[in-house]
Amino acid sequence: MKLTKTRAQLSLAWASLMNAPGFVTAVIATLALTLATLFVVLSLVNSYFLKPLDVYDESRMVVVEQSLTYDDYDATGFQSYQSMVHWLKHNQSFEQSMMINAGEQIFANLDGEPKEPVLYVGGNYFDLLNTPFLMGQGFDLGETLETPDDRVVISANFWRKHYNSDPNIIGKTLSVMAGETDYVHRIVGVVDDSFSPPYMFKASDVEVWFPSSADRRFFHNDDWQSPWTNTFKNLKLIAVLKPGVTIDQVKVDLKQQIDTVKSEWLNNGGITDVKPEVTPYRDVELGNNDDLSLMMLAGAVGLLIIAVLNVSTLFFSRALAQHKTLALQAVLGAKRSTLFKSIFLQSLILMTLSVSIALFLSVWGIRLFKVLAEGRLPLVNSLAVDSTLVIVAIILCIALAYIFSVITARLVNYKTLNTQMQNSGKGGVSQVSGRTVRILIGSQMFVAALLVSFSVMVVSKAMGTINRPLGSDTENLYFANLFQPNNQMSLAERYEHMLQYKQVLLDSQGIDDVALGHSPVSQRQNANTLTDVNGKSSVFFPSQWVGPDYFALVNTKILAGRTFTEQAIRGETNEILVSVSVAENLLPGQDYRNIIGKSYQGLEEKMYEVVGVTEDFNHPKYYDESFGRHIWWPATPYSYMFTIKATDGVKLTNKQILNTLKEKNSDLTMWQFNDLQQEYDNLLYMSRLTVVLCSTLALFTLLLAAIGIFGVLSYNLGLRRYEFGIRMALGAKKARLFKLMSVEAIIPVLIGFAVALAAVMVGFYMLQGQLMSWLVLDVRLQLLAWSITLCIALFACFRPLVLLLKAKPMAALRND
Amino acid sequence: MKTNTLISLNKIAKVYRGQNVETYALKDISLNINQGDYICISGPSGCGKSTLLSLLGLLDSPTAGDYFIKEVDTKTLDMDQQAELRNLHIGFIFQSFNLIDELSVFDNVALPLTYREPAMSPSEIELAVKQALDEVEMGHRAQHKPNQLSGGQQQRIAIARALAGKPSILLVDEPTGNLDSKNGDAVMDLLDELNKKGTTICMVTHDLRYAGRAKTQLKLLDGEIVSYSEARQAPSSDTTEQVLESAEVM
Repeated sequence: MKLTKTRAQLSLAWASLMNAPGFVTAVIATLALTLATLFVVLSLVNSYFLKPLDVYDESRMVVVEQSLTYDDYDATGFQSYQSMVHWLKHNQSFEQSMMINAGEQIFANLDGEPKEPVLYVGGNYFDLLNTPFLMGQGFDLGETLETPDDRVVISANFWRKHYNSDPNIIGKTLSVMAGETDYVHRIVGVVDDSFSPPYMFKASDVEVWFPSSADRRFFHNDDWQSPWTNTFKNLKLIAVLKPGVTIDQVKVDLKQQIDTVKSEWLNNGGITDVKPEVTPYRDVELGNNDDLSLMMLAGAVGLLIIAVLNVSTLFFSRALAQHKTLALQAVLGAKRSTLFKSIFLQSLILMTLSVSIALFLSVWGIRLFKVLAEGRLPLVNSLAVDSTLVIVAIILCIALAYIFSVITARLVNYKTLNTQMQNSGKGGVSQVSGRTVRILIGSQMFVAALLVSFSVMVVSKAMGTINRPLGSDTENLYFANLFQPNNQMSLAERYEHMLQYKQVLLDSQGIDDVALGHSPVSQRQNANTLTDVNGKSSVFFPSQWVGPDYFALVNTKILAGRTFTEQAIRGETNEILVSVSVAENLLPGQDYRNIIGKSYQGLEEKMYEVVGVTEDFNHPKYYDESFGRHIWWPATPYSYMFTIKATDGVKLTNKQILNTLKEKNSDLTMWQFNDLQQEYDNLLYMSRLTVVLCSTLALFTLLLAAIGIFGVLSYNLGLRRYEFGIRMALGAKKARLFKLMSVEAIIPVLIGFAVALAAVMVGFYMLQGQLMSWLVLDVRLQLLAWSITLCIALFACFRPLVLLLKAKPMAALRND
Repeated sequence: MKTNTLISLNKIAKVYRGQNVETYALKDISLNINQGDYICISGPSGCGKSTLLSLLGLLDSPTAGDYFIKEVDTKTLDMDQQAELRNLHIGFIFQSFNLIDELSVFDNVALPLTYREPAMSPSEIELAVKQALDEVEMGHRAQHKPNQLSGGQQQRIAIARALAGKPSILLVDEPTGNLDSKNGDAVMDLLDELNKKGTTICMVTHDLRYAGRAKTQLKLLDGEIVSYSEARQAPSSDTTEQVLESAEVM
């Protein structure tokens, strides 16, 4: 039998732990769950802050956007092709650069004519983003913007789905539905599954890439003159800076370049200035999601602190149980270092098990997180239990083992340990002082109240989004947008057709009602400005095109004025409706009704008369920017847009609607079909997820804190049972003892709670600016949360007292 | 001082100080223990027996006086050095056995050997443990857990653990206190046998049946040695000085 010193100690440590299954289970369960949460969040933090992006040279890559200044306001975030092309061709700062814009296309040669998101990219896109290819290649650098390019790159998934994994895919064609003739593109490459397109374009599910020169929205449509004011939110310039060039230098350079064509944009639609906005690539890609990850990290660290405090209490109790073994080892000649090593080994075994289980759980946690957040957060695909996380886990494992060993070792008085074997072991372990117990209770309460408060603030914000009236029904509602390629009919003729199509739909089974128009319940928003008679332009207002019957169908209330006339839909009169918030923005300090009859310059620089004011439309995703403002344009029938109300219990499909209408006109094609309730649910997805995650965090926190306070008080009262027995034997009434002990327990709880509330208030007002999009101080909800927190904490305080006082004096004296 | 002197106590005192109260647990204890001695310390409760055993075992420090083990002044030793000395020279046997339930008999006996410096090899430990277990006739129980054994068997294991490191002296505290008479006799027979083979033993016991088995009787009262006698030759006086003189003569 081989028995070395370390092996013997390890064997003793293991055997000792096996003898305390309750202690082991409690420690491992507490730490494994907490650490698993922490590891998932750390993986997120690792991706957002530490791991370099998989791109050409992150340190030199920037995203260029523009800020247009109109007469008296700035419009940032929307870019015109004109400015981007100019900067692409004229600059002194870029080593490489490319334009990217997002869009959608219908593919005419594929089964079902699917509509898919696409990206228009410069030739060096694939090199700059380190794109792996399954087959073929990207676009070479030779393409120019002036020459239409017929190449296309598809994803592996697209290749499998639509080309049945054809091994000879290179050279095959992909046709984009257009007017009389489709645009036919030649497939030159298939991108590997491991590639994740940039999140910044909100098109992480993009599967088709065209060269920038294939974007007909600007370059090759003879009818289309792209003015400086024709802007796109997703249009961006991505550039690699020349070595040593700073962002400030780039801004100066680009400003000088754009000013050389000042005559082209000055007063073009009211533009008075064009400024470059240059941001590091990483910042744009992550958006403000790094704030989210930091908040989650703070939450997870808070949980860990509570868990560590809880486990410390368990180790205090453990020290009592272990003293005999430690004393015996001392008597047999074990040095202090040997005894510490013995304690450390036990802690290390426990921490290793906890961390291993936590790592295992975090693998599943990350998978779950990916399912929940894919497409909704950047870099989700890069989340993983990687070497960095494993190293952190090992360090954490050793650090926690050391902390708990020190805690236990501090309770063991080595000077008196030797004498314990002959004194029946009494007093072998230093009892935790009352001060330590109070600090433990107070700090648990502080961290718990802090976490619960901030969780409730995040929940308040999310609940605000979920509960805010949308300003439109969504249940049983669908939106269908159809068009007829190469349609040469006049607007009046189209209008007549639209009414006929509406009647066809109304006559269909499962459809209760149909209105003209496009619901704004959608991931994307259009936005337009209105210019008053004095030439003063407004900020951008979200907008949508709807018919006269739309408002009644979706239950959007018209608060003043009326809905559109048929003439407006036919394009014979120019009418608009605006939401109350738009009216109040355009006529500050006035009654919103005053806007009725006023005219503003809108689409195609025509003057539109405001004929009605609706309730606000509160888009869940853009509310913080638009505040319920909305413009309703008349749904002139350039395409055929219908909002359809289905019969209760009936689910409509794209195919069903298209086939129904194709019986009337076989040339019709479906451009867009949405289930509005599903769209609305998607828009609320992150808010609902936030509520679930934060509520779980808050409950878990409260549970841990309650267990911790209960544990430390039970431990402390357990040590004082004998004293209580004497007091009881001497005639102390239970009420008196209850009062005596409860004051000792409650004061630290109240102090911890009060300090936490003060910290929450200070933190909230200090961080309000940065975290406004995440936190809301809902006083009523906070009061409720604080009350629950306090009740649970007080219950955890009183319960051990009640249990102790139920015991008979002799039992306490005998320490039974 | 004779060359075979193992332990030498000179005017040892142990005082416990409380608030405004000083309690003398031991006063002016002077004593030599030689190689091969078999001493029984007895006396009424609170006389200082256990305190003396604690001091002898370096489990506690005297308030005054000098204590030498193998001519090493224990005052000069720090806690780790004391632990080392204890591990090398002293074997303990307790009334309540103090075995670790989680470990096998073999591992319990091996425990003090694992603390030895320089470290013993696994084969050396194995050999020492086997020898110790054979000596107490418990070799066949090596893989058992202590709670699978009778009280007498557990005490034999405790003795084997004390013997495994080949200590200079065994300090034995009420070895039969938790045993019935049959097992008590067997344990005492074992101790007698060990002493005959040359093991030095210092034992505390209340049991008069077993106290007489020791060659030397030392009685304590109120922290002082009141009687010191040998089986063959009783001391002429009951004072400590005289006792020491008689011990020196032997």
